[in-house]
Amino acid sequence: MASRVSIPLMVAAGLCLSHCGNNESDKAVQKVIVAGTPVSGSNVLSIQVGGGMSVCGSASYPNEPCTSVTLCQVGTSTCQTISDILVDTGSVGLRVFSSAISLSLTNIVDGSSNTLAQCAQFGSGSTWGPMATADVVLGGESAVTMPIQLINSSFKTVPGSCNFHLETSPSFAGFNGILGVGQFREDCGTTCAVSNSNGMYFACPSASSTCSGTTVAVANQVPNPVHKLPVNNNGVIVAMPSVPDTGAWKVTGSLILGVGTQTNNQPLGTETVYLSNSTGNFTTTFNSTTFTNQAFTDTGSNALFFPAAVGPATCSAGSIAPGFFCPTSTQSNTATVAGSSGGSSGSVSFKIANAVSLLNNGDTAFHNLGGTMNTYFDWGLPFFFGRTVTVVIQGKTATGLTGTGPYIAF
Amino acid sequence: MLGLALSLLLLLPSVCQAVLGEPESSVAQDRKFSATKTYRKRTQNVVSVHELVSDALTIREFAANGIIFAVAWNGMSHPDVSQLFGKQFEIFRQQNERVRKLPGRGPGKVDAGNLVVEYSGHMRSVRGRAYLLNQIPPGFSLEDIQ
Repeated sequence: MASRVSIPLMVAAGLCLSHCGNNESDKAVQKVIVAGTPVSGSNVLSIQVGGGMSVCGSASYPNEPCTSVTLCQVGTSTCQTISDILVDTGSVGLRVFSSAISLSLTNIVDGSSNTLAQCAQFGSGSTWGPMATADVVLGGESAVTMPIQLINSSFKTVPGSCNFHLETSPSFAGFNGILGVGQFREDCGTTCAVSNSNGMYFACPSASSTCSGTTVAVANQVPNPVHKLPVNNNGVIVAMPSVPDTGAWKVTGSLILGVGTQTNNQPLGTETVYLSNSTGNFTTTFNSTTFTNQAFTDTGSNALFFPAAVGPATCSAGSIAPGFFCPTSTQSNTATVAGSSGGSSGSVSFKIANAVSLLNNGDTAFHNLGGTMNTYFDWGLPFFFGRTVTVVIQGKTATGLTGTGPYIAF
Repeated sequence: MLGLALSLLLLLPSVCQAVLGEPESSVAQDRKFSATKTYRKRTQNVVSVHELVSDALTIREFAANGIIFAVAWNGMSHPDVSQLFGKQFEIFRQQNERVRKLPGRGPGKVDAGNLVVEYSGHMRSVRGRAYLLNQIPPGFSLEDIQ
């Protein structure tokens, strides 16, 4: 499926940024483009990694899978399609920078007319801003009215729980928004319905510059947009093609809505179901270390991340990839994965190459990019290349697969 | 020695900020601030570990020689570090703004010389830790800060 597109220097010159050294001036620049098998249907969103998107990748970060969503003012045909939306199976909820939206959306208020706002909590940091109601269109599905987050770090005073890597603009973040289609129905769940010290939901009086922690009923929280669909609402399938060891400049794949609900989203029949625990984690064993309920799959993580203690040498602090792995030669590894409450186990083979070498070659999609993360084993986007991975939402089932979500299957 | 340290602590004015780099007594401020529901303390060798469990997260504060030298957390949400980091917060904030996390979307590390802050995970399951390199007691492994 990989096609090598040879671009003469005259054409490629305009694309050459800092990667282009002088000694490349007399050879053609090759861009590897890998196109996944197209899937047709109104329940399919295309995914693109790299390939010169306007915002995704502009912050120069590799392995960033992006798509488009359409937002409409509630009950109207006044709509806007927003590109460069990160596809994230590691989170839940649609979040879009307010600066990327030209529509007039209505903020959500609580019973005391305070604007509701969110500090969405990710492993990589946070997004802050008010909640608003929008009609959301995924692929060719019908529009559904739901709460979303408008990312806006200038809204009121950012609370202290939102201090980790706050996404301040599309160019800083490298995306216009995040489409969280993970294993849960809402971004927070019961905790935020019963405790106002949840760190995620805030009530903001119009007369005040600060916001206070608040409770929000589960039904009013920012939902998984897939869960709100009238059909194809039990989960998603992420299908991505294989990528060469040396990487690719552009990769396309599919985000398919629904699992086992129509002809284009039937299970392959070869998957193993791995049940997750209440926080979305399962178990992985690697290098004699077992990460019990501390492993997860996440398209929004741009590498395979695990503790330095079980990985190869890390890249030097002054390199272009501090904290990533830099083995002198590529490592071929095998890990064992198992559901959170036991059940079937399986093995996953993966490679870790030298991150500095990979990133220096100018490509943007790599199946063998790894980095360090304490405590967890994070099967990030590299894991998804060459696989069809199914995500089933909490409390839901899928015809052809055994078990009730939250789970993943591959 | 311990008695002397305790007496000195009692003489100090109460601190309004907790807790990293501050006297161990500042844990009390954090218990209040983080809406702690369950509190436990255990001791391993020279290190006391204060565990503060609230609805959304668990915070552990590590003390030696009467000073909190590390904090760690896990749960639904990152804590309010403007409180938890005490006077170190401003150091963290400035370095956090300077350092663009490279390359990409994953765990973060803010290395501000003596102060190191790390965070990771995913929505509903985040964790992190912060420690002061010059306060870590001899023989104590960074692996144990979690």
